[in-house]
Amino acid sequence: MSAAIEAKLAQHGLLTEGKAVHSTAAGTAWYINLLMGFAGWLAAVFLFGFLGLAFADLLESMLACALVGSLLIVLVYFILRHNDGPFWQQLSLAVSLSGQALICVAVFEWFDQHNWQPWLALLSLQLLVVWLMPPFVHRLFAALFAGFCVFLLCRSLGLAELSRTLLMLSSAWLCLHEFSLARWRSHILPLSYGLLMALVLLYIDGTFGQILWYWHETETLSVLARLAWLSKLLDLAVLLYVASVLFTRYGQPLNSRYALAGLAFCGLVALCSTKIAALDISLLILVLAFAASNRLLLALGSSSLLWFVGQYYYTLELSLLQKSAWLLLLSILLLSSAWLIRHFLPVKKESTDA
Amino acid sequence: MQQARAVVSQLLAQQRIAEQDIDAALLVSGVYPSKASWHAFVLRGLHWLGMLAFALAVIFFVAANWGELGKLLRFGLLECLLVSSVAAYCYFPSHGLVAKSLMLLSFLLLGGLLALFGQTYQTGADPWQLFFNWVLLGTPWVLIARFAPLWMLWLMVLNLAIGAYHKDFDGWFSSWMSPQESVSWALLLFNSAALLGWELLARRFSWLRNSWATRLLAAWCIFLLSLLAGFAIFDRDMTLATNVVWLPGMAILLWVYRLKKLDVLILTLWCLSAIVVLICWAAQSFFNIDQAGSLLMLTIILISMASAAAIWLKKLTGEHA
Repeated sequence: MSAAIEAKLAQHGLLTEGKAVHSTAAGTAWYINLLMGFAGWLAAVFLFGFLGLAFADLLESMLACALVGSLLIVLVYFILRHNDGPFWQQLSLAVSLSGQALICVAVFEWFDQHNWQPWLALLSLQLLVVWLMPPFVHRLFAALFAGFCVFLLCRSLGLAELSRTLLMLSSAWLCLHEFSLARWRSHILPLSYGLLMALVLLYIDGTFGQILWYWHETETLSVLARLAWLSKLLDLAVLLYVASVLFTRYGQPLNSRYALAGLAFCGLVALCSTKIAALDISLLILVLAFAASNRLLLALGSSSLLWFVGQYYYTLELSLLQKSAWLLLLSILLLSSAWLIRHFLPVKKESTDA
Repeated sequence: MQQARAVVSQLLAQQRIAEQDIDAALLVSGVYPSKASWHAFVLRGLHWLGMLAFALAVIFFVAANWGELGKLLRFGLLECLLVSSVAAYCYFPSHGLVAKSLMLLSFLLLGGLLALFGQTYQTGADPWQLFFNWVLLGTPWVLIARFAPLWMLWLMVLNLAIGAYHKDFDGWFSSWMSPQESVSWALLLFNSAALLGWELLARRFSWLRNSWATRLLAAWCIFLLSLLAGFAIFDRDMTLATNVVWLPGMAILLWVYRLKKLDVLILTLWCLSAIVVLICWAAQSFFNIDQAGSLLMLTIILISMASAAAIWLKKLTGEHA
């Protein structure tokens, strides 16, 4: 298969000379990464427990926490610069997570957790980890925590709903530029995955767990909560941005009927997602996944769609009858759109190239 | 799809594609889907989502008005749906996905009908009898459909029946062991037999050759083995069988999925079980002696084992390719 793809690219004059590639040599299987991530996280918990028990005074001193935490992260950076084997990656993940936990303790000792400063500091730390640490799992963890920090930062500023738009926009931009910024792909991929996972988990938590939402209570009333339509407009802007990038990629002018239909559909999705929560996010992930032939994102998008559809039954904002009406409206819109596309927006089967 | 991504990723890493040619290369290689692929994806997505939304609208509507519906209407509704889905199955070609999905829907509706019967008439039947009767009545459809997901659903309902039976009674092995051991053993024996049967029958019937199904069964068996090992580690009053089952069970799984039929995902789960069980054993053995020291030791053991597992699994992935 890889030889066939290389031959096809060479035939179109898009490939320079070099060593043949093996399709399975690119990256580690996702389940192995999952095992390593789980083991690294668990090891970090044990290591943090050891540091807490063995050096009990450490946790009481803000300066010691910050110093030791920073030293651990710097140590990890130098270890990873010279070693990339699985043992060193596991060790460095455990040590780095423990170091980050110590820095967290120091930050919350220094700042009042109700202010925005600690969250900005922690966000900066996570982005620094994404920048510096080479292993994929390491960057993925940091990106996930960065996503949570974005939410908590916005919430402390009374703009919790804005975090959703920011996470949608940043992850969409990263996914759409995954290959065009090839030099930074090893940073972009885990960052986009982490931010999307954070977005999905925040929605799940916001509905049931309420852990992160309650963790940081603020007396500042959210401006965007009072203007819910404004936050939805911002989300719509993100959907329109993604649609316009994709249409431009395939050489479709934005005033063509295909593009106008696509942009109109984004509006319908945004409208429906005011009553059917997270519909726009799930569909966004599915579109981004298909656009880059990304099976992992496709799985994330499909499972998040099924989850949100399932939990829609239990949400309390609307009665069951109202939810039924909205779902019926959605089904009519979707099936009508399919009919219209089939009859008025055909695509020639032989147009396999852009 | 994923292979094209992997190949192009490597070519980009080797800088064999010029920056101005990246988009064109992605389109030619198929990483960026063609316009026709997008059209098909959008149409299919709209159809499936539209049908899902409609089905949910109906379910929510019925749920909203359930209290007001009379007995006759409730049964009539469910029975009409059941008859319709079976009739629709007969209409479509039986080997197609639509027909098989309709049979799966019929099986689910049968369960719903039995639950409604039990709820309405308060027959005094135990929950395990509901699940068992569901399996019994649905078996002919499962045999006819020859659809792996439906077989998995059938096995899942049987698992529920076994679990419910053990909840109501002491269990099959209650003479020798505690209730929690008994139910774990019952499920382990049943699912191990199911996994063995599936692997053997898959050699004969092509429609059973789904790696996801055997992986799911193997994952469940590994979980049950680990659970029994956990009981053995943390509770001294377990039977000899529970104390020793983990080792031979893991050995058998390793023999099958390393030597007979290589499956790296199942072996990854195998490694996860090995790590978790050994960490639990180490924690139980050493935590009371020195808490801080044992945590450090657990960290080192965990990192070493995970690294060894990663090296071995990556090597196997290279062999599997």
